Amino acid sequence: MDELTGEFVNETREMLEQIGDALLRWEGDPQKTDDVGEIFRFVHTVKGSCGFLELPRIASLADAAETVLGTVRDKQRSADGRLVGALLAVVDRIGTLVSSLATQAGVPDEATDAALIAALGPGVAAVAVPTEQPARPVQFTANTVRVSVPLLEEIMTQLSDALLIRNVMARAIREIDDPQLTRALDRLTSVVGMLRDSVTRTRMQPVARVLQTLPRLVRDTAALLGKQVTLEIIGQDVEIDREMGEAIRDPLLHIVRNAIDHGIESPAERRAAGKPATGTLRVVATQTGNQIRLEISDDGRGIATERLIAKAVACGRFDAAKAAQLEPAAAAALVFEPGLTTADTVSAISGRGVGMDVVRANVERLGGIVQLSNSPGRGLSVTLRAPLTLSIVTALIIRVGGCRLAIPRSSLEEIVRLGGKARLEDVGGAKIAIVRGLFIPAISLADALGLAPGEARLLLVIATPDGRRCAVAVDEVFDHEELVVRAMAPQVAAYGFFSGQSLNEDGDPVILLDPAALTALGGTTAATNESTTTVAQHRRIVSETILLARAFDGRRIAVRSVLVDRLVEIAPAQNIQVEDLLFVPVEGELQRAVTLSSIVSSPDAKAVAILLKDGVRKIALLAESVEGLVEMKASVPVGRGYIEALVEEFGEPAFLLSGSALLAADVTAALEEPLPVRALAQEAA
Amino acid sequence: MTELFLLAELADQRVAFPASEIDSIVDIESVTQIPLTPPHVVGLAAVRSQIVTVIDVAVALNESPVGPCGRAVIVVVDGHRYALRVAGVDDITQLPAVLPIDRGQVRASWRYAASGALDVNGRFALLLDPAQLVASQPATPSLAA
Repeated sequence: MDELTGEFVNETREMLEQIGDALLRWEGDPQKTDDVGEIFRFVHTVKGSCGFLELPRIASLADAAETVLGTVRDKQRSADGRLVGALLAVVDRIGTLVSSLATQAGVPDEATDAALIAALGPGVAAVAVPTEQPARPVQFTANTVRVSVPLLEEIMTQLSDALLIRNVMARAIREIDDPQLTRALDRLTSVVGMLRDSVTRTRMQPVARVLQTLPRLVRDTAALLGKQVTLEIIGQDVEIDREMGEAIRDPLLHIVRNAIDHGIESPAERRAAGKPATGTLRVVATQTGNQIRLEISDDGRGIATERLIAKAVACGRFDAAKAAQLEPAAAAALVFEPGLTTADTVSAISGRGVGMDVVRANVERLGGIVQLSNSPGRGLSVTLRAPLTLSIVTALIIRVGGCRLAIPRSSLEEIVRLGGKARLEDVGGAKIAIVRGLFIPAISLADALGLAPGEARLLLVIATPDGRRCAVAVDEVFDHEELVVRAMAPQVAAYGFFSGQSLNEDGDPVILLDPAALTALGGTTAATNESTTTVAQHRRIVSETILLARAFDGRRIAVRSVLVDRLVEIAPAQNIQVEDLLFVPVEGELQRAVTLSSIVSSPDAKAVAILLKDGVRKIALLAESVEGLVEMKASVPVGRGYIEALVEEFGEPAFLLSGSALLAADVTAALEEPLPVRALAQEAA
Repeated sequence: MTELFLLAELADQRVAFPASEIDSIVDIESVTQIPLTPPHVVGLAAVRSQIVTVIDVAVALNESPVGPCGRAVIVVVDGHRYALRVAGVDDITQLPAVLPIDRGQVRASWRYAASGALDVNGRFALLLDPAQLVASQPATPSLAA
């Protein structure tokens, strides 16, 4: 295929993508002809190119479509659903023929062209365009060039150098008070800034361009298979290298097709399973430092692991004994084995089980990985991670323990000064930040990085897309900068705290922290996100945070963190017991206290007083130690005495104590032990 | 067949690198330290607007550090740029052959990075492999002497 034809194929493909939305809209409402002009221009351009390149079939189709679209655009003919469908079919045939120029395969029979053209209705003759040169040859000049990536890299480096020199000049010129010089510098700054943006655009594009084809693909695939699917796309603005964008397109499309074909059930099956008839497919694009993450999740049936295992055993991949020992994650990963498919029928779109192995191979060839998160009956989430050779990140420069680091601005929820509305508490081994009454797990960045601690003056609250949050204490905060981030050497990347390296505005190297590494340290687990509609809802969780603690008899207890005012270390030896009332001295006052069991009373025993209050009543719940904060998804109601529920999701079960019951505790110093519940817990242990 | 080699000094020993693996020779003026890196990684530096990972070759060979700033040899290993800090850089010379190493000539902790011996006008120089230095598993004394 010669270069001109190659340009034509690329351009036509791009144009087809761009008119995708227009086609969908028009199909949705045939009377609304706003988009007809755009579609007309498409077929008109294609027709022109074909004349120049001698592609009579495509020219014929484009000509017919152009004629009809022209009459609709000029209001000489009204559009209805049938006409729109016929036009879309012609546009599709054009697309197929153009693609086949590149792949040399799958060329539809020429005879069927006539039928498509005839379907466009009366007044259109199925006559082939004459193959001799048309009277008015359309000039088709290519306006793209091919440039080697190393050359673009050089340009980028030279430009960075220019920016640094500009900064040096700016500092000197500020000293000299010369208006003419200052004006010239301002113009230079502006021009160099635009130059940098332009050069960046040669390398990067918003991921939206890659995701552009998804709505049409989802619509067509769902229709073909009789499924109902809603598509959500989040993160359209994430920027990725153009090369990566092209490379990731096919694996992405394949995963999406799979999700609709194998994942999402038919409306009847879904209703029978208690799900809404319309399935949801969500594509989320995120970027951390030098990696892009594309997560494709559906609420379908997930991977049927037992059937996969059975298939694998039947094919002789391994014997039944080994199969029985497979962990669920490993069983789901069998979907990557070539040749295995649990589909009973091979559908027109997903082929013969040659799918996921090729996807994984292609992604790995890019230096990326494919991960699965399978919930049989509830859905599947496929995550593609791929490295970016470079990315632009807006980052905040911070100082901690004498070291300057950068943190991506997208992960910063807020910055607060310590003291006043925000404080750090280190009680019973758990580090907790309290910001306007909200409890957030905290980490000492200096400790985590092995740095000598500085003077922590500010608290950064960091959140990651998986819903985790943590608070990080730092010494100082500087400016935001736009950093061109690149991958670090493996020796620097080894600990997993950093996601890239860059040069700051002064030309000094700066390393970028990975927020996910920080929130993972913090220790809260994310609750599942129930909401399905907006980006804002995707980021924020509405679930309950509870404080886990250890009672003196060794049992795990929990209270809702909204009720916790603060945590204070106490020495039980100082407790005062008056008949059956217990008091503990807290900050110079005597506070009424309760405990789940009697306290171990050795003279230097330490304990924690969890001060609970509801705005009116106050009580101190005494515990041996505090474990930390977690977000609770579900609990088993108990409702005996002070034990409201049993929380089972964090390893060892914990008894959630009823805050209101505790606060109402009047005369009891030790709470009654509901025996049946305790016996159950012992059996389970 | 002759090849070019860069001669340098390190821990009172003459060393050499294959010239074909060297990008350039620079003077590192300032290094930004990075937390949580292995001891032979001194930090990051900027050389002509490109970031290099600075390696103290002496530390990689279990010797006393040459320090972060000074003359360095820039190499590219697996697509990443490194600055190998040495005590000094001497010359580029053309030599006919790389000789096998005689055990007695090389300290134990250097052996993992040594890829040959060179005879430079009667004087011995140890040929080092940049990729090994960068990865750096300094040999433990348990290697048979």
